[in-house]
Amino acid sequence: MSRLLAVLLFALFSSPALMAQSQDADKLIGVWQPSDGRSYLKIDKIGNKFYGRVVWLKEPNEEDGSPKLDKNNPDESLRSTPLKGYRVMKDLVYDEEVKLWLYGTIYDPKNGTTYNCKIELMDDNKIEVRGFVGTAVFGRTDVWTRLQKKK
Amino acid sequence: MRKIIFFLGFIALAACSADLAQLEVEKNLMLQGEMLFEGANTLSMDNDQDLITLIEEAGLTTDQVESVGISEAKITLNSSEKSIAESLLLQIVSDNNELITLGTLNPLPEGAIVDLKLAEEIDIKPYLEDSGCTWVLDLNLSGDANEMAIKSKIKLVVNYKEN
Repeated sequence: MSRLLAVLLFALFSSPALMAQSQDADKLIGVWQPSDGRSYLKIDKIGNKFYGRVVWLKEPNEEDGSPKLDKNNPDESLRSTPLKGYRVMKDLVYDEEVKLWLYGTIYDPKNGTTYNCKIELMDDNKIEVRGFVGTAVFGRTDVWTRLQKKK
Repeated sequence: MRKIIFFLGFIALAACSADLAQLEVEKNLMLQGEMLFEGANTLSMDNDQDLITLIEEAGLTTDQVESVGISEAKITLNSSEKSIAESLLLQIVSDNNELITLGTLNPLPEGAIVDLKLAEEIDIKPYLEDSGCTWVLDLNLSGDANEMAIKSKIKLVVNYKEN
């Protein structure tokens, strides 16, 4: 009986905390615009990890009219993949203690380089995205703005 | 004396090392998604066969398996899927392994069954042994679809040590 009571008490007190944790983590989900305004990235979730994909490009085509491809991919066999729809942000996991999305990567199609990535929520509609090599000290930060639905 | 030790060492090494052999296993996937709109979309399937299940028919153990590659990935599209699908990108992810690309195809050629262009040096053994293993198909669409269930047939190449 006391064991059952303990289980019930644990469930009562732990569920809201877990729910809050999940809600905090999911604040990253949405469509975001990097500061240069040349693309939109949609961040969604697979399992417990977050991924960002290019869903809009200001200049989606090359000069000859063909869609832009991932032509700088280090793996030659994947260079025919279109940039529109490409998953450039991968495997971010929310760390509840530091309130950051960590352990993931961000890919720069301009040079075919993958950087470590961490994201901090500044407010509900702004995130600070840092791409870095090795330690977070050596890197570049960009502020992305959430795309709002037109009312 | 030194020669004898060297010879005995060589014999011991040869006895311990096992030859690598290959086993080909076919795997069927059904990648599903709903409420799909024009643009970038995702279909997925939770992996239903872990490494043990895949190799048990061949009487192998996971300790024997060195790596699991992919030699072929075919995607079957029906006429309505084909009419709006522009490009395909097959990936795999699991709880403790990052999302990797297995194959891509852009643009799509004629025909209902298409062959993906495979990535170089794939080893999905860590994924098949991990929890949360998921097959992910990203596709760009030129139109909307309520839902899609796309069939894929993959040839896995299991490299294993012979006992």
